[in-house]
Amino acid sequence: MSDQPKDNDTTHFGYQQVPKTEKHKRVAGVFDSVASKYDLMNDLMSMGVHRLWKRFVIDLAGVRAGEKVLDVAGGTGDLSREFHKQVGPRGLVVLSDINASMLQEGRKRLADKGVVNLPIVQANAECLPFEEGSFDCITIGFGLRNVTDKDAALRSMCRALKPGGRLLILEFSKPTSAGLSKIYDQYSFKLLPLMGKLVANDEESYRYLAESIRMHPDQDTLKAMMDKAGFGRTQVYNMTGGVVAVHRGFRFE
Amino acid sequence: MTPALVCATAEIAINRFLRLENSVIEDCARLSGRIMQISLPSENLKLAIEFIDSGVRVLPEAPSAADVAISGTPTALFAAMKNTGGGALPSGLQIEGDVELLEKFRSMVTKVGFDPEEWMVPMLGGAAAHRLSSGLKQLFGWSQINSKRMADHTAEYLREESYDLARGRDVSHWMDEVDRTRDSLDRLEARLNLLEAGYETGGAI
Repeated sequence: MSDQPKDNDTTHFGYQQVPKTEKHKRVAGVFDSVASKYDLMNDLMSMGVHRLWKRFVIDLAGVRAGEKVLDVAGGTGDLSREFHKQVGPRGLVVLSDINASMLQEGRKRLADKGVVNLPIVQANAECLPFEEGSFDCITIGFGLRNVTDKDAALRSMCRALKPGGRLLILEFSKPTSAGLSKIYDQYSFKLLPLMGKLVANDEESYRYLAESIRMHPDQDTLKAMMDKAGFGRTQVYNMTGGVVAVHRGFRFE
Repeated sequence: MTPALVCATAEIAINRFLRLENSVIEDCARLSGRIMQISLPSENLKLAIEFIDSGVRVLPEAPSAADVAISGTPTALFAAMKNTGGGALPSGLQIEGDVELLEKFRSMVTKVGFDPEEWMVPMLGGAAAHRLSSGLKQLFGWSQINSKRMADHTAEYLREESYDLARGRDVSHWMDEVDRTRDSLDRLEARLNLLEAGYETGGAI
């Protein structure tokens, strides 16, 4: 028997194929490295537009007072903070991320904004440690592409939702026009690593971010994956010409 | 197909409006699963509003057969939502299916009402919102009065000065005259027919 990993034991890490067991460690390495400059880099990379994308997710989620919300891969807690305001004292928002450095940064930022009573959970999206039907709404913002087994993560999030609950996925996707796609390629493979080098002193991590975006399923593929995982009424909302897309699906059973 | 972002914008706006009144969300929950399809052919827009427990979901296409399909101009649709005080639906709207569902939605809109001050309070604070709202109401009132006054003056000029428009009572008089002429013509025609009939038979008239 060979010791070499089989194809189905490997997954992509950017453009590299790595054993599935290793991707987790490598992704953790990337986010350990960028955690402290994550928000600053987001602002620089998107020219502030990421705030509008997140605002759209918050509005589309339509969270009401008293609801229970889980922010998966919530990192620095941007979405959690807004949901925390919306659910009010009767509701609950849980911030979760697989990466301890990101959660630490998130806890610090939330505390700076006066949010201190929000549960923070270090958890893997593929096997969320919550009872079935715990949440009215789950969001995952710019996190799904770093998950090793996306199908498992979708199933896990579907399970954690109450019947009628909704999942919103905010993620980089495929530009809808060829012209924009070319500009976007130049930007993400040349300018983005350069910015990473200058601002965060970490060119490799930002190259990984660009590569991981290209390896992430496009709009239709992700929609099909959501349908397969058990979501219904799945819809795709393209933003900024498809550079980013929001997928929303509902658990029906 | 209506772009998804248009549906999302409509959904966010409708839900924000409906959530101003908690009992309306309970009404939505009672109608959960029922679907209204709205078509605006002039704008080439078609969307489905599905009631859910937390408000409504707006989709580019109805996921199953719609309970009621409404088609018409944006103005007619807006008028239907604006005049919700138990009045009749405006002309220019075609409705197929369960009209009661549409009426329930209209009554929800009535229940919520529209108070611009309430919308502005979270952004501006109570005092500023009250002042701005009062100012806007005065401005709109002034605009409405002036628009009406200008329309009246224009109509008066066209009637009395340029004679491009007829006065109401002149039109009415003219229509009476036309009716009278038609009646006289009918009588004349009947008389002629009678004369012709008498001539052909050679009998006395």
